Amino acid sequence: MPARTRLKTMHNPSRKIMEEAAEWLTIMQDTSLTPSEQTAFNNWRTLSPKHEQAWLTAQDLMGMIDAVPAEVGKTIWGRKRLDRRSAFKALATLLFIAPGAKILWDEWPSLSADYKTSVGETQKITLIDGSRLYLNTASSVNVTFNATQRILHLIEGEILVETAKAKSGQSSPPFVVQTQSGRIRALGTRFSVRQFEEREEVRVNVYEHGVAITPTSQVAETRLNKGNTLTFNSNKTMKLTTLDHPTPLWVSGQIISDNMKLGDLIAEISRYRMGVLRCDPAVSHHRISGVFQLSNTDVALNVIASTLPVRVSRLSPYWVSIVEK
Amino acid sequence: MIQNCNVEYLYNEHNTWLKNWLHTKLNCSYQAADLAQDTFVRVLMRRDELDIYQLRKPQAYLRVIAKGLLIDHFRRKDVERTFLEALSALPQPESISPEAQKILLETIQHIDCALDRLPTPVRKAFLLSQLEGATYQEIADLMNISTRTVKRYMQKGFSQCLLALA
Repeated sequence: MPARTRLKTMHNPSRKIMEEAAEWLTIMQDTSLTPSEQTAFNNWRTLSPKHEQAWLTAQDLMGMIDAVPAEVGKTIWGRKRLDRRSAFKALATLLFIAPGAKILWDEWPSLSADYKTSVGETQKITLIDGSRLYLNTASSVNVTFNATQRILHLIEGEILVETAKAKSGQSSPPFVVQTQSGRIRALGTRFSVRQFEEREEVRVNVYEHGVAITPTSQVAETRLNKGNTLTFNSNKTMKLTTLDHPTPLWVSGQIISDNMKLGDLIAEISRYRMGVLRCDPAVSHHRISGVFQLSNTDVALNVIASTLPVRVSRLSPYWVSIVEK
Repeated sequence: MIQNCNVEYLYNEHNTWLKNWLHTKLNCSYQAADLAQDTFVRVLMRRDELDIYQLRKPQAYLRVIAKGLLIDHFRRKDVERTFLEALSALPQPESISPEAQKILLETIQHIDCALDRLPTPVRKAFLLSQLEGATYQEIADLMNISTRTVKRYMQKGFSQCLLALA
């Protein structure tokens, strides 16, 4: 394949240049370039042999995707992803790593594992250092532990971390959660991180001790202490407020609503349901208090309907609306 | 310990064990030998690391690496099987020569690895664009997101694919 052979040459473009090439592809995919964009593109492409190389790779990529029959691509690329955890299960017991097993850092040069939950599912995992990791609904995280660092890459969704205490006389490598917008360094602690894909924001709740947050484009760390919550994007940290609840409720499978707007509550519940769950704007202003179980959101919806002047309209199990009674 | 941690030593001492271990997983001695070989290639690539880490349990180290390779192996098999099924469902499957099939499968697996690293909504937007030919506006409407978000997703998708090719 030309892509492979050509890339073996010495002009290996950097990650940054590849990302710029991706940017051009993104623009060209949808519209044709304006004359000034065309000039900018030509300038970019001739900046260096590496830029040219990156663009050749981009063209190879488009050629490769074009060569794949759409039906075949849909079946394979669009398939439900077999995550590493299922793969582990498929490989049965011999590959099982006993949780909490006493493993010393230097015996594990690099150990990666991926964890995923589907919609409505939560999961609790004990990591090899004894730290606990909870995955909320529709979340995905890659774990990379080695002798110098412990990193959780949050790909999507929300996690809660309870870091293990270092054994006496032993120092543990730094524990870091890496998100799309920046990194969160644990300072001996219990905290949750939620990534908002669409808003390009990350929210951190600290339940014990503290964490240090560094947005991608910054160098300085922002300290966040117990009982506080902070939202940040890749450029800056934003509003800091106190936590509504001293513990993360989703871990125990609940939502507690304390005079919450119905619209907000429904948005929260919809995270745990397949399909569409929407709240008619005409009723979203209603306030509601109560405890709702996430394990059966249909029951939760019925409770809401019996409390407020609203009803649950079920067009199908996957298309549910909360509307005026 | 350190002086024992060179690759030659690891190979001589543990190659047979590793092959047997892999054999129990794969039920095929040829594939087991292949994967054992790949495992040691990985170890060679991580030579510098080996000098740093004093391996107290070389077998555990090898098993971690081999396990990663095993999972990739099973995933590739999974994709291959799905590929052959999808191919046979095409109107004229015989029109694609065996060589072309092989190249096609390789292409698909390459991009599949890249897609695997993307969050679900990003992958969805990317595939809608690349396989369905949907415009960014159409994707935005379909997924109930802004076109700005669609562009960001596309950029992420292209980036990941390009990095996989590099």
